[in-house]
Amino acid sequence: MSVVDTPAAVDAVAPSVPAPTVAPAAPPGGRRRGSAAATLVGLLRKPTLVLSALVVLVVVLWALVPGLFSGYDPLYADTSQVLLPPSFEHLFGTDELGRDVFTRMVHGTALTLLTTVVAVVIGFAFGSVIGLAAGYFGRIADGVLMRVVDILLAIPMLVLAMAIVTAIGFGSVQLAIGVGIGMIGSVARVMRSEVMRVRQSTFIDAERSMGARDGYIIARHVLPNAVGPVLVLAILDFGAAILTIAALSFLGYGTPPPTPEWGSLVASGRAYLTTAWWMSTLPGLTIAVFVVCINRIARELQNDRSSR
Amino acid sequence: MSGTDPQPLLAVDDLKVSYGSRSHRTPALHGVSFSMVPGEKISIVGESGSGKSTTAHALIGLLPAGGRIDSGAVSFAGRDLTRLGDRALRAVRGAEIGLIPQDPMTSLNPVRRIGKQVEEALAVHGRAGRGVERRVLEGLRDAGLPDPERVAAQFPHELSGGMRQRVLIAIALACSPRLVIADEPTSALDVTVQRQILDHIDRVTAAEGTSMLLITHDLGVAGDRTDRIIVMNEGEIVEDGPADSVLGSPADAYTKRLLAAAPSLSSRVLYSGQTVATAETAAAGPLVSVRALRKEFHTAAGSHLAVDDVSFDIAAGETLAIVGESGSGKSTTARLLLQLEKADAGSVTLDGAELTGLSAARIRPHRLAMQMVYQSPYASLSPRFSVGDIISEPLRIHRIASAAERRRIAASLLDQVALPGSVLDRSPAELSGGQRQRVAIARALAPQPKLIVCDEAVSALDVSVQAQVLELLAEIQRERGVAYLFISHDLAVVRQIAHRVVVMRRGRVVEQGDTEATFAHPVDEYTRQLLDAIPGRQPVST
Repeated sequence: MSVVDTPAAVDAVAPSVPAPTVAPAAPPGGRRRGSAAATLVGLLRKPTLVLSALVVLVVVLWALVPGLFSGYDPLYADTSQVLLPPSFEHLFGTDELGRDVFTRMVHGTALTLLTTVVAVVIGFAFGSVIGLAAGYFGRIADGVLMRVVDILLAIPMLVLAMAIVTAIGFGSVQLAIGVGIGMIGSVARVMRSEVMRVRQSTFIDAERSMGARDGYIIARHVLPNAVGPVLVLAILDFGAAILTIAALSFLGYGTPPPTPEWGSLVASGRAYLTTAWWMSTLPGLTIAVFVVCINRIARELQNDRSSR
Repeated sequence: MSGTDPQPLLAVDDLKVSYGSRSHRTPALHGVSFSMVPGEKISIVGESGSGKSTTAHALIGLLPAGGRIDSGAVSFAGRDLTRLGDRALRAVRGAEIGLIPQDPMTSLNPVRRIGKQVEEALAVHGRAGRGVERRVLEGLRDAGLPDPERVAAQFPHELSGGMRQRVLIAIALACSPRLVIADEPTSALDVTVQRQILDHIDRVTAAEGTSMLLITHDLGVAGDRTDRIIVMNEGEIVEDGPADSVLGSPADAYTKRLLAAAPSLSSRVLYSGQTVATAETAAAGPLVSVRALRKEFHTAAGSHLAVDDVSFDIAAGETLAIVGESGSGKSTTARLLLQLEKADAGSVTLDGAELTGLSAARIRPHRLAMQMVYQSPYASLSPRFSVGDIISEPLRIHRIASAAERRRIAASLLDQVALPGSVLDRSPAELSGGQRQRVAIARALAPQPKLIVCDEAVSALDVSVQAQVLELLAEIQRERGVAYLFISHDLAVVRQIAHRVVVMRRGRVVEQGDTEATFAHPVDEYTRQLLDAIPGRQPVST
């Protein structure tokens, strides 16, 4: 006797297709409120994340409205106030020309951040296109593009940026281009692997079976599904880019004085390290804290993605 | 064989398990109780979400993260396993209770040799002293692996799925446990391999007098292999009794539904006896004509002839099934037909138009007439799109209709696949597997195709959902006269849905003809083997 060949079984066959039930959606309002409360509780459990976000917010405000944070002129030299140690008057002390170091730090933020953003955008844009082409089309495109990327990755970012800036001239824009090119390699790698992952999914195959063109599939399906981890990497690289740009302007590759810039601020104090430690140390520490905060936020985004 | 020892080997008493975070806990088991005596073979049957795997894992304290035993007791040979510490539990796992896991592809360490992995099972219980190599080889031989010396020196990737499952059996039985828990041990394997593996587990456990708890979704397997069947639904045991009485005269309504839904070679045929083809369409020739298709894949390891001289026709409004085991070339044939792969030789015509050799741009308009439904309803729908966008995607690609019209079409298609209009703006993640597969079918119907290729379209679904989707496919065919190319490894399903069948093996067609006739009187030896291997065909033991 076969397993299901019983009268009871045959009787129980439903004659028509029963409509499957769909669980009613939770009322959107209540659901949203619940998730907002959950987010708040989650944030309270991560005080370092909240602190990092506050620090980044303050630094961004420095860049946008520097006048709000300091009443001094970053370029005004007051010879009666030379090399004063930190005080409530001068938070970071003053330099050898009597300029307020904190004010110069705040006013230098805009230029440093802008240079970094341009660098990251250059790295992100070119790296993404290279990674996308290599990952999607594969074969020869992949082979050629990835060998170029290997070469980029083989040279340390600082050395590569120095070589490029030396070749195309000193200045903020050149600095951004140099550092941006240095970032292309890692962005392209991550983008390529993400695109390859998405490209192999069944729903991309389904798109092809429906007759979609490559451009349509890339723009509408591959890119939106692949871009997330690359964005996280771009934020992580943002920290590295600030360090590189500060290092290069420390070495004198950036904007010439007296325009304030984070790296050159640190550099200008190095001759006075023994007598006026604050000139290099406090701007240097500020840069370090800011980079650590950026990385903290990037890690959070990364963990959030991988846990999903 | 039972009853000699009144003391039960395993007694589960009111076991309650829940999943989730500290604040939100979802109960998975609502008080499960059963017991088994030494030497008994019991299967736990249920659909996904029924709690059958949770039960198995809770017994040996291996619940996944977030899972917790809330109350109840699991007493094994007189000890309550739920009260044992990790160390004591580790001594029980493997040594006294062996586990044969579900997926042979991911359950072995890819960088260690097979012999070492079996040895490890002995070593963790301090049984790796002198003569361990001999015992490893014996274990592998007992698990039915020919040439155990060679296998012991190999890596997992060098073995087929069936061979890996045998290695897992050798590991599970290495310490001669008193109870073996087999969690869907063969659901990833072909039917003929499944049969060998199950035969083998039977032999080994019978020789040692080992008890077995078999977790399966397949009623046929449960009936063939075990004396007692426990049916679970939504975290509760709904029926528990001797196999033949559970299958022969089920008492519970859910068991009855499950039995009715399970396809077998005696289930009701769903397709209409008369194809929709009329005299004039018949005169116009077949809808699809495939001639002498050939495809060879070249890899670093050498070339592999995937499809070799395959020819068949599909008439308008008919269902043609291609059956075969993994590696038979059935999916490749479908992809060649759809021009998703380029054939090395042969021709494919659709409605009289030759498709092979056309450029991508010239094929594009033909794609409207042939659509595809994939095996996994989870992978084949874009996770970022709403259901409405997914269904109207083919129209959007071909720039058919305005956005508002496409939305209207999508809504009416939802109605046709018996989904409520309210899901139009939902994400596929909010739907169940069966509902997603309905969405995939609606998408395939959107451009009003003449042919829909269903590549294992119901294999990933639970039997009751599978039965509903098959009904839906048959109904759509009656109403719209669409033809199906139905790729499947499941002969029982094929018998329900297909007018004609093509049996493939190693890239070649070994037999084709009317489904009814082919299944009743298979000409080819391989077809006969396939039919014989279907679980549930052996007489129920009494």
